[in-house]
Amino acid sequence: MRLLVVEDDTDLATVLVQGLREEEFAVDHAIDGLDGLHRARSGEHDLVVLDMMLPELDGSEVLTRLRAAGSSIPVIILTARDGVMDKVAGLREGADDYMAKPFSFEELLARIRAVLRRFHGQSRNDITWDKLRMDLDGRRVFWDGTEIVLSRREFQIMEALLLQQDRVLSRTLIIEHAYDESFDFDSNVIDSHIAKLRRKLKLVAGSPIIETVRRVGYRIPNPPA
Amino acid sequence: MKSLRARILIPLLSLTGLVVCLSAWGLDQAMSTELIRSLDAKLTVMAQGVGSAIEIDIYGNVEFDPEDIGISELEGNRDDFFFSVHDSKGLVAATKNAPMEPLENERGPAQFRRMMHQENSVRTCSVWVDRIPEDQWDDDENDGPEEVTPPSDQPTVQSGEFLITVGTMTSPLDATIASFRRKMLIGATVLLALLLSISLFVVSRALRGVQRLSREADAIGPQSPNSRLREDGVAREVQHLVKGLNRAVDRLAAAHEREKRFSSDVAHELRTPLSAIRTHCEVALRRPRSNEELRESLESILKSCVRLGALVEKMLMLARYQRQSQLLTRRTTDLSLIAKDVSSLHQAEAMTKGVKLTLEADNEVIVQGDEELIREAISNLVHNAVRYTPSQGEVVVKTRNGSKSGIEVRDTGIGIDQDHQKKIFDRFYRVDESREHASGSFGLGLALAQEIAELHGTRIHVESTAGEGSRFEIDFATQQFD
Repeated sequence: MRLLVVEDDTDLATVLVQGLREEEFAVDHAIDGLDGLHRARSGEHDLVVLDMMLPELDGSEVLTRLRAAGSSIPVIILTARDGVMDKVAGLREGADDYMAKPFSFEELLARIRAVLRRFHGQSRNDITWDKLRMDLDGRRVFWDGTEIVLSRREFQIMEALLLQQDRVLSRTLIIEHAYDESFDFDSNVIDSHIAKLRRKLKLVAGSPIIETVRRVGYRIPNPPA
Repeated sequence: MKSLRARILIPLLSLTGLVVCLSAWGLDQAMSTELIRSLDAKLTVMAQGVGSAIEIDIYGNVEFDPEDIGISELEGNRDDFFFSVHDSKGLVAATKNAPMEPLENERGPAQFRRMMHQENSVRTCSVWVDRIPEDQWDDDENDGPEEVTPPSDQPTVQSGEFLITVGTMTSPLDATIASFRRKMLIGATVLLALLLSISLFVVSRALRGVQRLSREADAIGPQSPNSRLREDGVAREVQHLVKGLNRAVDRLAAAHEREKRFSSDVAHELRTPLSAIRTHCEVALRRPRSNEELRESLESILKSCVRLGALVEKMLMLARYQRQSQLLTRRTTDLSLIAKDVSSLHQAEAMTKGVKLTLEADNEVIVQGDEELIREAISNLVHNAVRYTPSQGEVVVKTRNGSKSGIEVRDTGIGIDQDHQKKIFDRFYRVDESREHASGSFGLGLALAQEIAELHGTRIHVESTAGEGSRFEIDFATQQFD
């Protein structure tokens, strides 16, 4: 899961990015509204954490323009203002949730996950595929109750493929989902992660689950009936 | 406080009522006088007629022939006219319809009076006439009296003076006047009633705009900061008031908006570092950390705390100055000394940036004020000047003595364009949000300095050209204390 944090206070932004990265998210940071809008529209992110009071372009303006451009990317707004109106206006302009500063990081995490889950149409924060169960909050994967221990990258790649079952994801798409901009672009890394992932899956589940689509990318098909 | 309607209508209608009553009274007076005058004229003519019916023959006998009067009312059997003729001895020479009491009437012009006669109100005219015997008439008189035979039972006189009293009942006259008065009363009442209702209607119509305005005024409040009174559809006098009120509301709304923006800015400025502190703590506590990591977190937290502290300090200072309406301490203060102190205070900062900071101070520039506050204000100005002046630039702190005593801080920095110049003294206003936020500026320094200048009864003037530099000046010569 790749997040975009739009926050002008560098101190807060730094620690937010650090905290979210430690929670297995890929995180990018934009320092002002224009930059934020530009990045959010690139379509590389799964969710935007948007501060309302931003230089260059106000948070609500970013949101309005983003929605006007047809983007449906989930947005959680951070507001430091008192008024209920600010929150209401934010939600009306198309935010999916809001947090009032000073917020609890724990709560922000929970809301990010809840919004992502809602966006992907899941009621619980689990993804299942046949006997496979992926616990998104606990960042663990089970096959029929047996845990498959995955690295952080492996988990993110698995998550990306499982969220969009039966769809072929290119290496670039997988990178966009699992890595932030600090990633040194080399798609071979994906291949090696996928190979390890397949080995682990085959060991426990008896099948590698992930299919290779030649010259295009990888896919997890719909679960067998 | 009476209603405006009452204020307009009561004096207006009272005055109109008074005028109508006075006119009615005057009309009545004129009418009665005229009626009586014409009646009197008629009576005079009648008296003359009666007089002409008296004849004295050559023997000195008095003869009276009613046929000679020549006035129809006095002939025949009309009982509403009377006359009596008294001779100079007070004896009745002739009469019609009962003789009237002889009047005490000195010779003179005709006299008129109202009297009771046989239980009737009667208007009489008494007039003396002279009759001379027939032979004394000049020959050339045309209408000499006819020849009569003196009755033997009548006293004979050589010549005679006769008091003739003619009277008529006043009841027809009284009836006419009464009827006139009745009509006039009805007319005046109708007129006043009509006037009252028309005025009520007109005034209410004129005031309908005012009622509408008061409804509109009720709707103005913090919930609808953009609603104003409609300026059209009211009288011009009220329109001035409405425009004035709207301008007042504009000013209040602007002040309200500024305050709202300020408290919103305060909230933002306080909550963002708080968020950072909280997130630092939470993230640090989520998993086991090395000492190095913990140290980094603590350092960031400390930085935020220092920033918060500085902000709170500045805001409290600002609030304190704003609450204060005038200086608490006012002493003779040397601006040059302050300028020297402030310059040396910022010298290190300027040197680090490669900015030349020079002092051009007169020996002693004495002003009235609070040294501590002036130092704070000038320090803010110098701090800004150094901050916005690039390396190789220059900042000059200058004091002036004499009639233009004051202090100026000028720099060769980035300058401020016209749009921003108006707002730089607003609290939390930053010309370049992103850059200055990172540099730890709150946008309170100039607001604070201006607040201090105002406490000293003056203002900070700014002249600036974008790209060339700025000049901030506090002119203490125009200082005015309330």
